[in-house]
Amino acid sequence: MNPASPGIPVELIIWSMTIGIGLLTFAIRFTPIALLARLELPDRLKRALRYVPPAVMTAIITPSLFFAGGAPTITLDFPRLAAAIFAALIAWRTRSTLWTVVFGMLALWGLQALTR
Amino acid sequence: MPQVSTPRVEFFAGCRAFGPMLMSIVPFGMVCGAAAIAAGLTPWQAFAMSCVVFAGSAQIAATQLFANGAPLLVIIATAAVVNLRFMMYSASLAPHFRPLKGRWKALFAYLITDQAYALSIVRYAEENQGKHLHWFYFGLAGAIWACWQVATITGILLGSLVPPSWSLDFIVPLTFIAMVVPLLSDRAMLIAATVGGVASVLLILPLKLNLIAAALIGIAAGLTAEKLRRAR
Repeated sequence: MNPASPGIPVELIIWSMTIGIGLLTFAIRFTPIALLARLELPDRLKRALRYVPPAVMTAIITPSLFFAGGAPTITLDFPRLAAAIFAALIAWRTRSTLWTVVFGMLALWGLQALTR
Repeated sequence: MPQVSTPRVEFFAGCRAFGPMLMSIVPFGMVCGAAAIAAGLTPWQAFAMSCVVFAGSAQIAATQLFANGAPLLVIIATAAVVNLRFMMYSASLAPHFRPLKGRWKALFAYLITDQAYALSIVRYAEENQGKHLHWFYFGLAGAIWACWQVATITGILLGSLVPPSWSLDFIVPLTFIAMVVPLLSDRAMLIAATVGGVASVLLILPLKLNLIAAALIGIAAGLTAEKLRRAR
């Protein structure tokens, strides 16, 4: 299952991953609350943190629009890319997660039916 | 309309404020549970991850990397970068949580999510806030937690029943799009998003380091754009 760590039982990798991410995430959530009675976050860091959500979220989703089936080639997955752009327009107009998901899925199914 | 602020009133006001969030949390939680099973986790491992980590985007990123055979340290580091935004939320909530006891601070920190932050910071910023406003946060964040876990369990149990041809995994990028688009109100944010997305496609790095690198490049691009605008 996990070729990067040969010899290590998969179960051990999964639990280490869960606990490692859990501890780090809690530290990220708790440290400012625990310490900020005494110190402020540096202004530079605060400004950088503002850009974390847009940079991270697009970095997570964009490859899935291009690499159909996870293959490392730039083969455009046209229905997904077009449906995503359409969904972005819906999100811009409605600001609603519900409508973005509904219209995005309808667009994907429609385009998949057309291109099949 | 504004009732006397008591712990009870505030707690249930928080639960009610959660209502509209239902439609964004339920599909996301279900997809998250289903993705963990598809990546090869057992139902218990998937549920444990959802309880211990309690951060959907990081869980999705981690399970995807795990399924693609990324090394453990890269998986953990990537999830941490995805969750860095909580540091911003935590810093912004810190002054409001200051009167609380340590145990409550720890619980409230664990419950920080995009939605809980967005809705509660508005109330905290209002004037004439009651002394019981942290009960509002607890009602809201607690409702989000409970709903997330139920949705995750549903995804774990039912995810494998849905045929892949329905492409329901596409709900994940769609919920992300719904979260990102409203953020793109100024040019620096737009640049951070665009550069992060382009870099994640074009970068070919060993050990699946693409996501971390692309996110950091996107953040740097946003900061640079902001700096250039100020210099003008």
